[in-house]
Amino acid sequence: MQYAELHARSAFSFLEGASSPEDIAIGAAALGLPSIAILDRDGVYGCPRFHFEAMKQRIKALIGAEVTVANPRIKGVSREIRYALLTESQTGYRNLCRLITAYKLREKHKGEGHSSPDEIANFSQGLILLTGGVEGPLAAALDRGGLAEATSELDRLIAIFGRGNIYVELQRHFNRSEEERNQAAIELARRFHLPLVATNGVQYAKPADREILDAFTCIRHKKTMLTAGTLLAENAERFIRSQEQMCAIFADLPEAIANTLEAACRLNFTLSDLGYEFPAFPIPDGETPNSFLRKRTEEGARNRYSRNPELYEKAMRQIDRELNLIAKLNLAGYFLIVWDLIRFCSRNNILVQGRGSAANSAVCYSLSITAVDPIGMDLLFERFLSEERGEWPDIDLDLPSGDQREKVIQYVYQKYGRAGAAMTANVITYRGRSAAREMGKVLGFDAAALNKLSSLIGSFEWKGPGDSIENQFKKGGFNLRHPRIAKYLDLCQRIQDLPRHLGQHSGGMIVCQGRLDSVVPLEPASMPGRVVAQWDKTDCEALRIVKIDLLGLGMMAVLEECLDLIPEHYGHSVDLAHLPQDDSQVYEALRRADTVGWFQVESEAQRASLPRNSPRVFYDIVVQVALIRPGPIVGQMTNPYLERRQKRQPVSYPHPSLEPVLKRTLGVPLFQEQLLRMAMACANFSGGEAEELRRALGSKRSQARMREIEQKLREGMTANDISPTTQDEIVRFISSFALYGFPESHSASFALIAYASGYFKCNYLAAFTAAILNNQPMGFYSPAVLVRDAQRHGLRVRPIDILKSECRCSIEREADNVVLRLGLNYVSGLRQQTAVAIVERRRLREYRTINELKLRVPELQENEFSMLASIGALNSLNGGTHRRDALWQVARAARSVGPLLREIEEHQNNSPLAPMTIEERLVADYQGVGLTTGRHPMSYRRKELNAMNVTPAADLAGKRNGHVVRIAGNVIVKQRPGTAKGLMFISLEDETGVARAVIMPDMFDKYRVTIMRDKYLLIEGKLQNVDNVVTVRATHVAQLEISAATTQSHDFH
Amino acid sequence: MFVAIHAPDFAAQAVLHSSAEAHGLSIHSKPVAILDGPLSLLRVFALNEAARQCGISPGMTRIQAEAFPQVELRQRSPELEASGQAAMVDCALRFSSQVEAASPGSIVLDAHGADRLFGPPKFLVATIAASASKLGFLVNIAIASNPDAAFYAALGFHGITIINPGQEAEWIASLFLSLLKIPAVVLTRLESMGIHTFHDLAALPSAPFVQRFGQDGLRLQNIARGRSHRELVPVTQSPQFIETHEFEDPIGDLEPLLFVLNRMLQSLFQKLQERSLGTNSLDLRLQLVLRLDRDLRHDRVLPNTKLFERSIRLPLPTQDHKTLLKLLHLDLSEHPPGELVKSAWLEAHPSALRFTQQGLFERNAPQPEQLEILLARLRGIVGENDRQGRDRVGMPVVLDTHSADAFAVKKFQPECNQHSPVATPRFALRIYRPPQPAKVKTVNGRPQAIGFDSHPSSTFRIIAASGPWRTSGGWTEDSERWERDEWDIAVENESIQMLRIYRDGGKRWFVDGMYD
Repeated sequence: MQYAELHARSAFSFLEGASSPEDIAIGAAALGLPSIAILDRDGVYGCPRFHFEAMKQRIKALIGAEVTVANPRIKGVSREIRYALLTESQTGYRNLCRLITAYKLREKHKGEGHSSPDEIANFSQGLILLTGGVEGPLAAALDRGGLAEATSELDRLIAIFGRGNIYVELQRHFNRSEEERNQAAIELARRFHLPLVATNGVQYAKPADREILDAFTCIRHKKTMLTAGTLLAENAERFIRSQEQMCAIFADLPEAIANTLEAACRLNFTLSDLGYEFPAFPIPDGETPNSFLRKRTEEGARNRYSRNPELYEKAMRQIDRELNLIAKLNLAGYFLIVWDLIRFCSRNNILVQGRGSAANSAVCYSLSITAVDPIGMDLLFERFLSEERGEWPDIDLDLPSGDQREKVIQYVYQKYGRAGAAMTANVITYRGRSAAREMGKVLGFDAAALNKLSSLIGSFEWKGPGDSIENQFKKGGFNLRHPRIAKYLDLCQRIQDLPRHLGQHSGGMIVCQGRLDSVVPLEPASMPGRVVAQWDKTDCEALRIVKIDLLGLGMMAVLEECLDLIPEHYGHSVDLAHLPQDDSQVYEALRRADTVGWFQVESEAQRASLPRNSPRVFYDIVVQVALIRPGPIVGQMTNPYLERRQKRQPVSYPHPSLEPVLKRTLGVPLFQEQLLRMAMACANFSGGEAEELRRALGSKRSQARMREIEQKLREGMTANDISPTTQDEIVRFISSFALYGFPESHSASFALIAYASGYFKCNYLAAFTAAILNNQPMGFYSPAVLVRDAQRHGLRVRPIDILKSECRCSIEREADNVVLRLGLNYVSGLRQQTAVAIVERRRLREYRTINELKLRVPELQENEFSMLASIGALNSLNGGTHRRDALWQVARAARSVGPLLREIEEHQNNSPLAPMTIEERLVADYQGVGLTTGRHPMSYRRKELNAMNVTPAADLAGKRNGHVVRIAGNVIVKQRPGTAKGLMFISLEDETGVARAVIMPDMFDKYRVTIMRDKYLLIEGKLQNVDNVVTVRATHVAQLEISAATTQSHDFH
Repeated sequence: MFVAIHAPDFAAQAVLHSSAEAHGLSIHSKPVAILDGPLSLLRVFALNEAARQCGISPGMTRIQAEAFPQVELRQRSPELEASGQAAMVDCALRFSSQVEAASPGSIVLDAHGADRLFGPPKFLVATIAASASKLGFLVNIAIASNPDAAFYAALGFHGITIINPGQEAEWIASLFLSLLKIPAVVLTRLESMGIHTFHDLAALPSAPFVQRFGQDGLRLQNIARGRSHRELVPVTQSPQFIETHEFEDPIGDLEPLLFVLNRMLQSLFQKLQERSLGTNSLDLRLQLVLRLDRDLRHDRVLPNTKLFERSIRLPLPTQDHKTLLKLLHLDLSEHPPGELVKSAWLEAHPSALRFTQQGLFERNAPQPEQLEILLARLRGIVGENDRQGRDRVGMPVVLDTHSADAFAVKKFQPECNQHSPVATPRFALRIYRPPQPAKVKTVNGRPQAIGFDSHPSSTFRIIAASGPWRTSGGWTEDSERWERDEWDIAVENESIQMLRIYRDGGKRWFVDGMYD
């Protein structure tokens, strides 16, 4: 007799199931079950993963869900009922999705939600109901009123679902009350002539996983193992049982077993028949999507390439090839949808640029989706799209972060309807720290022990085999032999990667022709106006659902603001698509590593390598962006490249066939595309096969798959007479890159933005600085550092002034110069509405006195008013005053007096207060604005510093390598990267620039407190001045008393 | 004339004060830093001078402070601070009846007329300093003509400060405004105006200043000018019900001890009765003298006394000292001190008496006092705890677990008029304690026949069996792991008997009970 399991929950029932959908499918296949159904709580979250694993295991994946229905209170306790629903057909699946969406979206906030029996009646077609176990409607009815109530409940269910679509479910977990219910159910089934069906109400794959379920139960009920009591599972019987076991348990009811197979045969729906159609793009009569796309692409290509006939011809050939493939894969509609978004952005002046592998496509470039010319840069199309992969292409659009990006998202909702578009989900899983914290709570560890444990796991990243949780525990001094600690470790490891809750992906959107809620249930997001699908982006990709990533990028917002500011203040406009490509100032700044505020190349590590890479053309920037990345660093490619770049190492190739592939990067592989081309060149892989190779090596999921594809690679190389040693080297290159490598197209897209940011900074410093200050937080440096850097480049920065400052930082014209005026948004504690009121009312009439300001802007609260006075923003009122004077006036104006006395001016206007000293002004500036527009605090002490033999930062480059020097300044960055073996990098800023110091681990231990605590440091050490990279290797660190101003450093450790 | 006493770094001193009481250490040379804040972000909140000299400073994070291994890091304890403050108030009350607890670690007392008892001010402050030092506090003391001048001088100046009338402003001019007890926002505003010291504040013209800071500003300015006048807000120490007795010669027998305890109890209860209070909580602390001859072989010096503590709790407050004496008697009989008693200390925690009106038809429950005595007697007979750590006397309660037969014993408290919500079972199960080992023959896992160890020769046929009913748990540790398969069986003996049997994790069979 054959048995199919019709009722199983996976861990996507969030804390009510303990095994992943894959494990459920694997477990069922291992036991020889022909099919198994997953019915997760209120969703089909795990179904795609289950479906694909079941296909791999060659078993039938039955799809369904447990739908929660509100239940009247029984004996004072409100208990939810779960309807176990299985999808018989595509109609059933669609109804299930729409049913779940209906009640999920009814919830105002992200939450559970529940349906009503009437609602279920509306969506019951194509669904089969199992009467369920202890949580099912039959058990609830028996509880409420015994057999009589259960009879009327069955009548009602039959009316909803029809007699042929109900199975009376029996579960046997060796429990007395369950068996009592079973006997009642059997009697009812016979009375109603309904079929019986046996299930095991599976909650985990193996008996041992009951422990995880118990732990999850504790988390769900906020209990510990000691206090959870009877909430915990009674026994460990809810695992996947074999046919033999089930037949033995239901030996008295063979029909209940036989019916499982009969029911499973009826359930013909699988996710392969999802019925998803991506939206049809409206096209003129007489056109097909392919012909329409071809026309738009060709128009675009003419614009892009018309100036270079040779390139145009090459491009057209490539475009033709791409369009043919697009037509073959039936993807024209997808490209038109993305093109439509680009048109929307262009109509609304929203800056947009495609990134990622889309930049490999000439079609994308022609449609203005991307800005990198793949023909000119000879990029590999197969990385983007290949026939072999059979997947949707991945187009990521970078948009200015904030409101502009939201406009595009809302446009998608508007265009495809609330039920036609959704954000993709982001499944948050249990990882090192969260697993350690939750399991610690479950086992009842006290708060102190929990803190210790999670801090131990905190820095843990899954990097290599040596970095296991177990090793971290050992290093933390935990005794793994202690049974409780051993169990804790065991649980932490076992719940790794199990889903914890559903989040929202940062930018991924899916769209559908018609109703997306018929394809996947939708849920409300925490953010108002958004809905989230129940599947993450990998699942959507796998199920061939169109996905577009709309990603917010701070620098795009900066560039966009620059494009507005430049025509207004410099008298001419700039087109981002036509920036001069060879601006010498940009490349000189790059070679000097003068890149504070630039996109991607501003970090300390980037700046330390820039002089060595010495960029001269755009492609050098593309390389620079990819160079300081885990791939090249872990694969030990960064240094060889830089050595070859400086002609200290000869350019060589592992094999002559690789020369064309690696020539541009001097024989060192730096990009993912090169990995693909290497496989194509040396092992005769097709483009699609090479991408398959990258994916197999890039995912850690399947060791077997990796071995298989490596074998294929080696066979190809052997066929090409490549020696085993060279093969090893090539395999090493490829495997180190598969995981971390950066695609060249992506790097090129970023390099474009990096170049644009540098171009604006070099040519329109005031506009760039204003824009970057207006879009904080972003990038690597604090506003204080950005302002001082701009000042060093000659920009005059004016302080906040109540009569001149706008809400945002703005540009003013002074004589022939443009200057930057800090905006009111930078005043600490000043509310946005107050800033707006100040500026709006000033436009009507200028303020003359502090009293008048208070009267006309009643929104000004006392602390806001005092803050404005203390930072000098009110100095231009009352005919010119000083900060203390303003504070004195503010103190009076801020006190409420009756209307009679309100407008009486004080007779004695002179305040008894002394003006602020320089130090007091500095303190007030940093406290109130976070920066000073005046001189750098260090400059006031330069004489003393000279006497102490301290070298200013700007003079370091002129000192000899090996010289012992003293540097001093304000700490702006502290970095202790995990890969740097305990080294710490500190950047000290003075009035002349930034000096870098490296602290060895022993020095760090010695001066730990000073380094961690003090804002100004004096560091002595040997100067390392090599290849224009200047660093001081510290031998002594001391605290420096410069100013009490609270400056901020950006710390990474 | 007002005297202010201030213990600097009070949070640290309070901790040291407690250890001084407990260990008699030389306390102030030991560097101590007190941490406060949320557990995830503990920072140094207070520290003593010795710690300061090690390089530690307030505001440091715990991790930074841990870099100074010589400094003992302790977490802030409101209880210790409260007890330190109480000790300081007690000390001040010896010198004046008008004592104000100005802030944690600071006391101001009205010393008018104290010169007649203690002589000129310098003698008075020296005596106060000596008393505080005996308590284990290092204090600053200041004497001035008004309480605020004295208070801020004690806060701001080290050691003893005697301010002659009329010189207040001059003395306190150099103090920083941060000492003032004012809201942080006002302090920030003043400091942003460049007003940092009492002198700066005193020098501002009064009228404009009041326009800006109101009457509070005027008050502050008067303080800064050494001209404030106010009444003290005296502490009202709640009465403590403590009796102590020191024996001339240590005693070893219970009888003379109880004789003394009786007298102490009488005295305590008299005080309680005077205030219409009762008690349901009594703490006894005995200082015991160790028999040193036992420890002669040890090289190290052992403390020759130790504390012996017992507590008696009643469900309701009482004024009947005899009940408590009886309970003390029973408790000490069960837990004898074992050593000679040098001194006794008794504290009754006062509580308002409660009176209850019983219903006319309500069954009389035993008096709570009598019940407590009965329970104490029972404990004396059967002992306090069993091997599993459960109380031996009390009422059994079923534990919230699937594990069958798991129970705890909680304190016996009869609950009248409460009906069990559990429905009446259709069968009653008589549970065998302990369960009876059995031999069960199974076929395909189902029990077929059973034999009892008590009747080794006979085996009974099982005519019906229902099960298994399976439970398991305790998986967090192997030693606590349990599992159990229960069966309900019908056995044919002369009549048909229905039994519950089970097989444990060790595959042993037991008869759990018999269905009636």
